Amino acid sequence: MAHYPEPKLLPMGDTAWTVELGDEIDIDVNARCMGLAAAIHEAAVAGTLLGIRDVVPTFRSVTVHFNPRQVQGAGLGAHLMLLARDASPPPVAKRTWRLPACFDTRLAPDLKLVAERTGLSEAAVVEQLLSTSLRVYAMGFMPGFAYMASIPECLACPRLQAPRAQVAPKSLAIAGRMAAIYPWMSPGGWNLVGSIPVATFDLANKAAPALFEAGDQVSFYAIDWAEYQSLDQPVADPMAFRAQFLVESPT
Amino acid sequence: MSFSIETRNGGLGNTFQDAGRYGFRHQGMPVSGFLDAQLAQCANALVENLAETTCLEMRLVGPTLKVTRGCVRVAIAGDAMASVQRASGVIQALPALHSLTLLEGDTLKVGAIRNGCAYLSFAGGLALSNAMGSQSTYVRVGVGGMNGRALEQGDLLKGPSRAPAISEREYRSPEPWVQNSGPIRVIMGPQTDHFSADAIQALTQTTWKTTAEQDRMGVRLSGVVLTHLTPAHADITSDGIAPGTIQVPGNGQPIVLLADCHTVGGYPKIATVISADLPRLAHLPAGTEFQFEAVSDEQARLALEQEDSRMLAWLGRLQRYAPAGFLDERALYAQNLVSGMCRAE
Repeated sequence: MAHYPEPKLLPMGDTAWTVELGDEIDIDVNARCMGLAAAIHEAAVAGTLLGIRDVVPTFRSVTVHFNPRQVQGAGLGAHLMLLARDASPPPVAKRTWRLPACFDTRLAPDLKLVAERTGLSEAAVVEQLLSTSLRVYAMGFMPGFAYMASIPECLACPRLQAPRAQVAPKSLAIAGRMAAIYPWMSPGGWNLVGSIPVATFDLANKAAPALFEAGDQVSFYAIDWAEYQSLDQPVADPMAFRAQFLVESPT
Repeated sequence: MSFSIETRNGGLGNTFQDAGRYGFRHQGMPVSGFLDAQLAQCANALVENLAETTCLEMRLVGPTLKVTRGCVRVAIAGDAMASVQRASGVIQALPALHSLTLLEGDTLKVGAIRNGCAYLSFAGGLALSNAMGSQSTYVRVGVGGMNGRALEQGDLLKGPSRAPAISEREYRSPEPWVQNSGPIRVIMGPQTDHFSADAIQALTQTTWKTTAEQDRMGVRLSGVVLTHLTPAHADITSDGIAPGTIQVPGNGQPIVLLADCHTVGGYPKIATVISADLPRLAHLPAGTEFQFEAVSDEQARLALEQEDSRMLAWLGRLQRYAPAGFLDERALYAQNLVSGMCRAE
């Protein structure tokens, strides 16, 4: 069972509800979460729902943060349940990104390890990654961090036994069936298999500093070390730079 | 006329915060903002600011600030010792919950912060970097406040370009702001079903102790081990979290999340502290013992109303006062003028 027959309304104190639609990481459940988040957002913009501060869709649920001085939790919860019962995937496809990725050993310290663990050649690991279309299931952990899935079963390998104290920003990392790009220098236990010369969080885009949103589709094309170096430079217009990698976007 | 302040000493653990950064949690951006919004409101009210105006949140050792241009009214709320050295060299104390106008050449020195956090307000606020609609500092990614980091020596603070005219009025509070007491109230959930019945009972029926492992992201507690239903129940598919949420990782020791917490987390959450008691979490030095109490949604609503009316009543009792002026004792002794009352207002 992926979808619950009836959504679950879970309280998180007096400032948030989490509406849970299913019990596992599943593309259809996740798509309904995106649809529900969009419906809640629209209702908030239209003024039908008051006091909404943040709408955060995740793998199988949507967390709605609200101002308890502006709206009564119980009434809001009931309203959210009405929307949740009708939740369906968004009618319009989200954005599709096609991002350059460099798999040079200097930027892919764990590529060899992943090849050993999966029994594939390094070239085959890269090939598998390039043939995969990933979906952003959730944002979080760090600003701009996207949990992307699913990488092929044959690439699934556990996290590092000892997490790194510092992972370089822009690292492309995999663990289990998931992939992510580290937006910031941070500790991390995922396998680093490449690097993306595009900032995944940039304050220059005031309305949406994060490159990704939950529901986006992402795929990669390979570039070499020299191409990586030429792309990984400060740019005059960060938004135009970012936009060139957007292949599809609902208008 | 606006003002400039030079940071002579940044102190330790001091960041600019406001009411928080809402509307970006779906991008993974934490809310940040005041750990104790009530205390910040006290500091702001004394200088006639709106409640959400940016303050310096002081956590360990306060800063030393010198006014290099213009004048600015300030106030401190919280347990902190502070003094002002006037341009003339005269030193006077700045008691908490008293506003005072700093003139050009004056230096404000704030000492150790003794109870978790205190706030320094500036009349009219400050011109600071605004990111995503908030001046709140989120140090981890270098956003907001003073270049996204804690205050440092040499930092120049400027008033807003259109600073309000400084009035003659100074305010003080005849009484301290006292936080509500008793157990810290929680609403159970969202993942109560990941815990054993013993754990659920233990949460509200045993005593918890704060550890030294605390920062603006959260505070780790120690106490009885809260067991999950099975070891597998110690992990969940990551979902939304919020300040006040009580996460319980595999070791069974709870972590209460605070303003800078992530937006999603993978540990089950046994309960969440209600808004009315959230400010208290900012003042739990290591070793503080307390209890949790489970309440209903309705009780949480009433508790918040009660806190708001307590604050209104407190604000209503603020009074105007005349600061005990520029008393230079040495000069007065030299002139043999000290006798009886001597107020220079």
